[in-house]
Amino acid sequence: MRRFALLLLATAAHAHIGSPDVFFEGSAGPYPLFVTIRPPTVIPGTADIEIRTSAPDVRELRLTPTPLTGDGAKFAPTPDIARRSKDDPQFFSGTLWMMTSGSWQVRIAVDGARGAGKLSVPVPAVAQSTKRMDAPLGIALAILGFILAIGVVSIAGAAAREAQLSPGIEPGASFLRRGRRTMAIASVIVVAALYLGNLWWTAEANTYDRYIYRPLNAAAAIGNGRLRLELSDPGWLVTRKTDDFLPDHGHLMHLYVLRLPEMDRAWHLHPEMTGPGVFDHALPPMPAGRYALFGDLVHENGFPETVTTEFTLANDLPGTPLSGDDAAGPTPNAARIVFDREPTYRVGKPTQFRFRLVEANGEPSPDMELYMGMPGHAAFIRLDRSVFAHVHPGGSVPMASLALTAEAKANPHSLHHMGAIPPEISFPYGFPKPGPYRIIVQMKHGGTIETALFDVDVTP
Amino acid sequence: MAQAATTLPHVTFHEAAEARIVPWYLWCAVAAITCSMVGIHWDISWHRTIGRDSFLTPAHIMIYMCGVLAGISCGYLILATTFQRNHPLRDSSVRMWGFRGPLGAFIGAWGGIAMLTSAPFDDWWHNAYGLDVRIISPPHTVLALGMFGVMLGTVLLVLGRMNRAEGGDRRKLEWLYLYVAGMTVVNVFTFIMESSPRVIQHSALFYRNICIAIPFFLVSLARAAGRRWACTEICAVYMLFWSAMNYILPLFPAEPKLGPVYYPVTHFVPSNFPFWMIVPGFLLDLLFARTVVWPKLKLAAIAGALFLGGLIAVQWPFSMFLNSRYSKNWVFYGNNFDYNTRPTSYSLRDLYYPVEKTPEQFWTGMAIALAAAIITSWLGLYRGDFLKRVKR
Repeated sequence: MRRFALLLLATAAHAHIGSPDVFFEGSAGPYPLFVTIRPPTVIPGTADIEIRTSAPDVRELRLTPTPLTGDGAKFAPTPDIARRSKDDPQFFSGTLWMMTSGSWQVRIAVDGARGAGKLSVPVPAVAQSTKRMDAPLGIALAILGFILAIGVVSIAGAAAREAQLSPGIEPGASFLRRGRRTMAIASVIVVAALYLGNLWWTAEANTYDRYIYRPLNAAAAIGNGRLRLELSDPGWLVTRKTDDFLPDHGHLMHLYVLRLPEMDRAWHLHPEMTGPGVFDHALPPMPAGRYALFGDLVHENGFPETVTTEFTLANDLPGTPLSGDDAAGPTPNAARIVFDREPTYRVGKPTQFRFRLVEANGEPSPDMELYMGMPGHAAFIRLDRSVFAHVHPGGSVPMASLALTAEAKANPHSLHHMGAIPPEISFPYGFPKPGPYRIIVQMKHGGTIETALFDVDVTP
Repeated sequence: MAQAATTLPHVTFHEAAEARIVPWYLWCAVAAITCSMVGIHWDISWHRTIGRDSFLTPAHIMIYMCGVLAGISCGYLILATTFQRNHPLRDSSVRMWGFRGPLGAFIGAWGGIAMLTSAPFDDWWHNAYGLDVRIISPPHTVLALGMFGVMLGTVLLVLGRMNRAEGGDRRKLEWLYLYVAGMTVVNVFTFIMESSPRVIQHSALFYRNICIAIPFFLVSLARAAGRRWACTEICAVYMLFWSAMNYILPLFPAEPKLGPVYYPVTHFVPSNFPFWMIVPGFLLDLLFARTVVWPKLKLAAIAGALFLGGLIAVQWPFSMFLNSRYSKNWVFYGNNFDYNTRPTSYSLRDLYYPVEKTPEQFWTGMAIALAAAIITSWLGLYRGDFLKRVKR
C-alpha cells in the first residue's frame, strides 16, 4: 500500500458551524409543531423560541428550559406561557433564560381540544463571543465617566472649601488652600479608583473569555490509505471529554469530506473510534487534491460538536470501495433527487427544503429505504465553509441528543420512522447569513444511496 | 476658622423665610433613598425567588425612582439656588462649575448621574458577558456608587439644615436624620449581604467583613447626630427596616422561573434576620457618652474592641439559634432558602462553613477584624467631626 502525503490543520468549529439556531419538526401528542430556537450568544442569556403549529385547536403552549441531563433535568421551574401571535393564532413565541454553557432542552407542553401533549427539543447553549462596545455608546459612557470623575474632585473641593462655613460667609485663603489640597488628594484617589476599576473589568473580561466556546481540535493524517483523525481539547469546560461520544444513527462520527475548492464531490463516511479521541477509517478511492472535513459528534450529555480540518492527497488514492452506510456523490445513477425550490431564500427564515427521488422516467421512486434510520440526510454548507449544518427531516437536532429527552426515553420508538418511506422528504432549516450555499442531499432506495448537490443563493 | 473666613458686606439670610421645617425637596430626597432600599431588597428577593428578571420589573422601577426623585430634588435645588438671587438657600450653598446649591444637592445629583450611567453600561455588560449572576459587577458598582451618592447627598441635605436649625426645629430634623442615617447603614449591609451569610457567622471572615464595612458609617453618622443614643437609634432603624422588608416580602406569592429548582418556593424569599447591631451600637453610645475628651486614637481603639466584642457576644449565639429548628417560623424565617439551594448545601443542613481551617487562621482573622474595627472607627470619628460642622 502506498503511503501518501499528509497535511495537519485544525480550525474552529461549533455544534454545526456558524449555525447556532435549532430547527425542529415534531409532534407533541396529536399536535404537529415546527420549533425554532435561537440560543443566546452569551451565557447566561436568553433564547428566543418560535413555534408554529398546523393544528388549529391548540389552546395553550407552555415552555420550560432545563439542562438535558443530570439533576437540572429533574427539577424544572414553573413554565412560561408562550405568547400567541395576534396576526397568526397558530404561531407562538417565548423567551427563556439559559444559565450555563452546555446541553439544554426546551420542554414544550401543549393543551388543546384533543388533550395534552409534550415535546422536548435539545439546544446546545454556549457563549459564542464577547460583544464589543459600539463607538457611540463608548463615547457617551466616556463623557459621563469623565463628568463623574471630575465631579468627585470638584465636590470634594467644594466640601472642604465651603461646606462648614456659616451662611453668607465667603471662604478665606486658608479654606481656599484646603479646597485645592483636597481636590489634589481626590484626583489621586479618582485616578487610582479608575485604574483599579480597569483592572477589575479586564479580569472579569478574561474570566468570561475562558467560557467562550472553543471546539475540539481535529488533526487529520493519511497513511496506508487510511484516515486518522485525532481530537484534542484546546481548553473550554473542564467537564468536556474526547472519549464520551454517543452513537448517532449507529455511528460515533458522521464525517463529511468535500473536495476543494469547488466542493463538487462529497463523501459521507463513518470513522470508528480506535482510542480516546482517535478515529480511523479506510478512505474510498479519491483523486489527488485538497479536502475539507466536517465531523459530527455528540457527547454523552447530548452536547453536539462539529470538528473540522483539512487534508491533502498528493496523488490519486486507489482506496477501499465504499461499504455500509458510507456514500459519495453526486451519484451518476439513472434515479435522481429533485429539489423543489422556493422562489427566494432569506436569512433566518425557517424553511422546509423539499426534495423528491425520481426514477429515470420521472416517476417517484417505488422502493424507498431508510438511510441510517432516516428518510434522508442533508448538509447545508456555505461556500466559504463558514457555515455547516447536518440536518434530518426532523430538523437540525442530532438524534443522539433527542434520545436523551424524557419523551424519547418514555417512548424510544418515537425516534424511528414508522410506516412506508415516502419518496418526498423535507428538511427544516434556516440560513444564518446571506451568500452562496451548497446542499448535499442523500436518500436511499433499492439498496443504493443517492447523493445530490444543489446550490442556493441566500438573500439578506 | 473665623480668621480664615471673611464676612460679605451685604449678606441676607433668607432661610428663615422658609416656613416648613422639612421642605418638599427634603421629603423628595428621603423618598428617593427609601425607594432605593425597598427596590434593592425587593430585587434581591426577586432573584432568590423567581430567578430571572427584565428591565422593567417593579423592583427595578423602585430603584430607578431613586434616581428620578433625587434628580427632581437636587436638580431643583441647584437650579433654583443658582438662578434665583433671593432663594432662601443661596447663602447656605457651595459653588461648583458656576452653579450654586447645598453640598448634598451636588452629591445627590452626582449620584443620579452615576445611576443614569450605570443603566446603559449594565445593559451592554449583559450583552457582552451574560445576564446577572452576581450582585457585585462593575456596572452594578457604578449603580451602587450612584445610590450611595444619593444617600450621602440626602444625609448632607438633612444634616446641613439640622446644623443650621436650633431648639425644637433641630430636634424634629434629628428624627429625619436618624432615619436617613439608618438607611445608609442598611445600604452598606445590603452591599455586603453576599459576604455575610448565616453559614459563616462562626468564622473570623464574617466579623472581618462587618468590621471593615460598618464602624466608619455608624460612628461618623452617629457622631454627627449629636444625640446620646445615636448609635443605638441608627442601628434600630436598620433593624426595623430590614425586618419590615423581611416580614412584608413573604406575604406575596411568587414561583421560580429558572431551574433547577432544588427547594420549593411559593412566596418571595426574605433575606437573613438582621444582625443584632443595637447591641454594639448601645455599647458605643455608653462609651462615647463617657469619653468626650479622649484622644481619637484611644477612643477608636476602645470603640473598635467594643464593637467587635458586642457583635460577637450577640451574633455568635444568635446564629446558633438561626441554625436550629426553633428559627424555622415566620418570626425568624430561618428557612429562607433560595429556589436553587441544594439539599447538600451547608445552609439547608444548618451547618457552619469552615472558612478557617486551623485555630491560627481563625485568630489571625479575628485580629484583622479587630484592627479593621479600630481603623474604621478612627476614620469614622474624624468624618463625624466634619459632618457635625456641615452647614451648607
